[in-house]
Order: sequence, then structure tokens, then C-alpha cells
Amino acid sequence: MDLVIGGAYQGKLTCVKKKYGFKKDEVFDLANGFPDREYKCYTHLEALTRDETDPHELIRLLMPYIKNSVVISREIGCGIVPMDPDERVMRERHGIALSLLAKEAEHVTRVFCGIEERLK
Amino acid sequence: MRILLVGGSKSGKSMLAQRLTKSLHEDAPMYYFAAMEPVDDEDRERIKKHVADREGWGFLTVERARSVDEVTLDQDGAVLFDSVTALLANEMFGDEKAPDPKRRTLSELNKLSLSVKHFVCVADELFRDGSEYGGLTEEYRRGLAFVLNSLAEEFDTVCEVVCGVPKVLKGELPPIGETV
Repeated sequence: MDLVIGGAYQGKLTCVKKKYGFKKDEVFDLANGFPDREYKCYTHLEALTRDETDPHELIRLLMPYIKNSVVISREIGCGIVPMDPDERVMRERHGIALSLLAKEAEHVTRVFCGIEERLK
Repeated sequence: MRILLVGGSKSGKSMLAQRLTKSLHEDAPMYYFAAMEPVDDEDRERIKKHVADREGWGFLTVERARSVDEVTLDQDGAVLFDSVTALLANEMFGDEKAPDPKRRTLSELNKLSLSVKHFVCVADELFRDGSEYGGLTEEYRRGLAFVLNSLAEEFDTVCEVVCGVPKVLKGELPPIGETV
């Protein structure tokens, strides 16, 4: 599994499609919920960490689907810690989920201004 | 050469840009292109601070908040453009709103940057805080990302600036000159 992270609108999916040659129907948008089958690429992991599932449990449930895929996620941890406690807990869940994925991932890449930067 | 410097606020982008511009300009004129339109005393204070930071460096100051490509500069000159963030905000939210502000901003910057020998521009990184702002703010963030990603593709060198230290993501940096 490869993990690709980066800020909002940095061109993460564009980079991934270019690098791996994925077609539209090979990419699953996690904003639509849990995947129904295995895809080659998953975007918007942050949509799943919005749900109040324990991040360890979330990654355990996702792993069979994503183990041979590319997972794309927004980085959301910078900036002011939000006043809203739900938002704070969400960032914590997301941070844990990303760390777990990064540990399992073969490659971790960050996209900044559309440019790839290899982290692992 | 064309250099894009992106970093958080107060990350030392402007000072680094000054040093790079100074080391690039040789004997040709060196311009500080200020795109920020002051709206309150805080802005005016910020401008004063930037002016003081540049004192003795030899920059000619050009102040223009929009249609920056209409300015004619010495073609051998070196420009420090401050900033992409401000220009897009002016084109999007100013009195004379451009119909397609993000594409307009990109085209102005491309034209201006190709009209001189060296162009160093700075922009703010505001994409990793996890908040969804909605409405015009989100449209602005999306627009800024469009402009920056496009410039990054075109420019020779792209750096993320952290504590005034450049992390090169694309291309090479010229030697970074001393502060004055």
C-alpha cells in the first residue's frame, strides 16, 4: 500500500493518476462511505475519520480493501486547534489513522503545490 | 530564473526572497513589487515593517494591487513579488472584481514574470489546517491552490519555506546572499 498525503487542493489525485495510470472507475471516493469492493485507489480518507469509529478499528476494517492500493488523504493537523470538541477529536482520530497507515505503507508521499515529496 | 516560495505566515519568506533577489540581480535594477492593498492600521504597520526590512538593500518599490502585468519594468531586472496571496485576494474581493480571478491572477503573474530576467515570488500556505471554511473563503483557497500549482509547474524552482530555511521541492536555488 502507498499513502499519499497533502493539504487541500494540492493536486494529490492528479499526481496519483499520472504516476500510477489509474482510470476513473479504479478510484473510490471514501466520501461515499465504506468501499463495497477492492479498488486500486481510495481518496478522501478524512471523510471516514469524521465518523466516530476508533481509528485502530477503522484501519483494521479497511485493510483488506486497501492493502494493495494507493490511499490519498488530506493533511488536516496544522493550524489552530479548533474550539469545537468534535473537530478536535476528529483531528486526533485522523492523525492516528494516518500514522497507522504510514507504518504499514510501502511508500509515503506528500504533495505540495502539485509536486511529490517522498517521505518514506 | 523564476522562483516560487511558499510557507506559513511569518515563516521568513520575504527575507529569504530579498536575499535571493539580491544575489540574482547583478547590476540590473531590483524591484520590490508590493501587491498588498492596505485596508487598516495593522496593514499599514506591516508595510512599514517590510519597508524598514528593505532599507539599504537597493530595491525600487512598485506598488500595484491589480493588473500587475500592465507595469513595464527593465527586462534585465529582478523582481521580488509580494505576494501571490494578496494579488488573488485583490482580484477576487477588490472593487473591480475580475470575472475569472484565479485565471486572471495566473496570467498576470506569468506575463509579469516573463517580462524580467529574474522573478522571485512569495505565497502563503493555507491548505493544511483541516477546516472547511465554505463560501468565498473556500473558493479563495481553491483559487490560490490553482494559481500556485500552475506556477509550480511553470517555474524553475519551488521551495517550501520553514523558519526562513528553504526546502527545495523542484529545481535548484541560486546562492542565498547575506542580509544587509
